[in-house]
Amino acid sequence: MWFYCAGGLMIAKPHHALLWILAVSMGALLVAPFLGMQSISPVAALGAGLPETLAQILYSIRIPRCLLAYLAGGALALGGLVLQALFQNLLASPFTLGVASGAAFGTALYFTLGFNFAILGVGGGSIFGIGGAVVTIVPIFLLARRRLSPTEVLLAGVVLSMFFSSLVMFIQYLSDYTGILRITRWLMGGFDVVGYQAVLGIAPFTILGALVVQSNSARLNLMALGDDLATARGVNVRRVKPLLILAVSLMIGAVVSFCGPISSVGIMAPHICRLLVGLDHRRLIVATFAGGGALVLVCDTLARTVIAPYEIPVGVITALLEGPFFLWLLYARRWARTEVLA
Amino acid sequence: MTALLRVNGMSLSLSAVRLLSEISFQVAAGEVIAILGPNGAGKSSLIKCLNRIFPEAQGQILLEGRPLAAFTQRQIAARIGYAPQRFAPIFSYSVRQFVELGTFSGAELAEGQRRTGVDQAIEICGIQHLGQRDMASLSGGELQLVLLAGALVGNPRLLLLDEPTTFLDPAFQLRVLSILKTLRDRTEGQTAVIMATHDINLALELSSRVIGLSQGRVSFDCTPREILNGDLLTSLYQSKFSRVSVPGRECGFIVPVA
Repeated sequence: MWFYCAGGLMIAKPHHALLWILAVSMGALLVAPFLGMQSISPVAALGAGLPETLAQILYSIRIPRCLLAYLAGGALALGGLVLQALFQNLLASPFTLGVASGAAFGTALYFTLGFNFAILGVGGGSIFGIGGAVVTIVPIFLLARRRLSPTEVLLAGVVLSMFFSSLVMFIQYLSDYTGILRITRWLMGGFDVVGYQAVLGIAPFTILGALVVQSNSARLNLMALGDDLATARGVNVRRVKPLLILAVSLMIGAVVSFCGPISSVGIMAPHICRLLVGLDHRRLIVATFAGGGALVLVCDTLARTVIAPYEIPVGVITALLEGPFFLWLLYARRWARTEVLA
Repeated sequence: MTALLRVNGMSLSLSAVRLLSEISFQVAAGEVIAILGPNGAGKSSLIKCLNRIFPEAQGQILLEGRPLAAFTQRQIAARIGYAPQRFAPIFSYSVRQFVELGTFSGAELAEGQRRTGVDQAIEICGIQHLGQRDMASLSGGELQLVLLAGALVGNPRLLLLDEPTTFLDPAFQLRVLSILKTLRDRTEGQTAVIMATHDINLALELSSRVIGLSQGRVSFDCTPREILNGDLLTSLYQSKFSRVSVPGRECGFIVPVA
């Protein structure tokens, strides 16, 4: 049977669900640039009939913004998926483990100190963001190696997250009025860019990180069982785990440095995709990246259209979705335990 | 007989706590070795050193005559199956999915061969009816059988079983015993088993050798018959035991006496 009913929802079978997620995701990516305060006709865009102003809006603002939102969403979602498997914790995400807060602190520090440099084409903001992410995740990783329970690891992440959030607040306190506004707005998350610099800034890290994760998909299946069983079944956990943590740090650090710490995606997208395509990371990684990208893209499109000409920070919308999502998840997991068995 | 596994002077310290000291023994193909010892004696730690879950182990561990360090983790997994003492899955794996994950070490095998290996392991453990059940919904006994099936995938030459009958009712204990006997018959005595257990009677019934572990050290390494003839169990557990004769059971039953 092509469809089965679960918890009142009609869900496609896992391999079909992946195709649906990819199709919806690509559809969102194709449609979103044409939506906004000023609607743009795709037909006119494909022909030569687009006025210069609209062409500039489409090619210099909308398309880069949509690509940035998609890549950022995919990276944040994938980061959550990997951390949940590595730490065997359903609540693990770049936020709950403090990685995003660490990256935010690194980037805020870069801005506040007035640095402006790049190394090998990589902006200083990204370098500081990635550095902040690494500084946060390394203690978590070392604690996890001391065989702490998933709850204890999560608690350590929450504490680190609070610590780095406090440091960001301290930086804000020391900043002038403009700096405070700038950091506050950036912390709410957003993709307000012109041109492709930001897209090109995060694309290499996101793509590299995603490739590293995908190439370890079979290992992630086992690591989600715990380090002991993964080792016993043939995974070199001591080598693979740091590699995956580095890949996540690269992705999250780069995304946060450009787009701010956008919350909730790293929790919501992996859980939704797990329910739809099952637990096999060989499918789940692709689904989560595409699903997370689409989720943030849709949120951003809502952010810039709902009360246009004003704009809602995208982080506000994703955070608003988190509460209802968890209520739904509690309900959905009841049937997931018995029915989503790919 | 050539040793499948040889352990020489193995020690283990974790977080500055000495868990194992100067452990030495060897296992031949087809041997069944039971590791007995009180709680905290280091039985689980010993098991975990043998497939490098604890790579911190010092000393010499030779598998098929080669140092364990000369093998990749995947090569070790292809040779050594492992069933843990406890497992609490976070994600909703089905029984079949869980057992299939045991095929990772046989990645070079064709899909059909891997599927056959999974089917065989499920059949040996008699859990065909549980295939689509969620791991989290299993009883303790069912879970233990599934863990055993996961360890059997790929026909490993050595099985490491960490307390395979703990928390099981008598019926499930007998099933585990029956599975291990079936395995012995099917592999014509080629698969060796090392099991940590608190079940003295299971150890005497099934094993060819019994190793007593106390405070991280080997206190005895002997045959089941030698155990029956001495005070080894009394000194190991600091408790008295009595032997109850049962017709048809050579070793009888060992019961603790207050």
